[in-house]
Amino acid sequence: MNKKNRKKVVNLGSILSKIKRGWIALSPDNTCLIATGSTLNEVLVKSKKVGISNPSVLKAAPIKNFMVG
Amino acid sequence: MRFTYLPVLDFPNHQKRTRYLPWIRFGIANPKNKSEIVYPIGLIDSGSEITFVDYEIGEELGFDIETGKSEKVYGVGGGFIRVYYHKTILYIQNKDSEEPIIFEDWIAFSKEKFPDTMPQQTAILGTIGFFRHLKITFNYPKFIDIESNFSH
Repeated sequence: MNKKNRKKVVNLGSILSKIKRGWIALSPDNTCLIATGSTLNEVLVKSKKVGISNPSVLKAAPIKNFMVG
Repeated sequence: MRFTYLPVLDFPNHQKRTRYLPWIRFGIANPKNKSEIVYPIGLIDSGSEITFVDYEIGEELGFDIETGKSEKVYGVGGGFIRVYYHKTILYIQNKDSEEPIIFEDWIAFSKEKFPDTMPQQTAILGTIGFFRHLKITFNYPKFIDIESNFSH
């Protein structure tokens, strides 16, 4: 796939500024938001309902904070 | 295989800021049920001695978290959380078309949640459970190359 046609990875800053709690499911290539929910199980079930059985999952977090470790 | 950094664009004090985080998608499964794989997005952290995953992922995979070997782990702020180790199967794969790197190792789960202020609340990929199986090249901010240690 050439650079022009490549789908853009989702901007996590934009998603996590709106979703403060719970879980997020993204498409497997991390290009779009599929589901949100208060538990991991809830987002996995919602993703399956729209035909995506293997979403990327992420717990909401204050991504504006920096981390060391 | 090649992964991209995950971009985070925000506007602190109305100024545009773009950060590129070494967060990747990986798969995790319970050896007792290999057909069910969860794909978290975790932080690649060479400073962490263990791989640490949110307890909901462990419960989703059928682990009885508190039956694992238990230990306290400490962070840079001096706080600690108690973790429970379980043997898991890890899958490293960027695209469905690529052959995944698969290995078994110990992963730490916690019954407590990560501290609220931590920007990564899902998974931290450290030495045990990740780095000791892989050769990893960081080329910030373009890509992260990951190969198996045992492929050659």
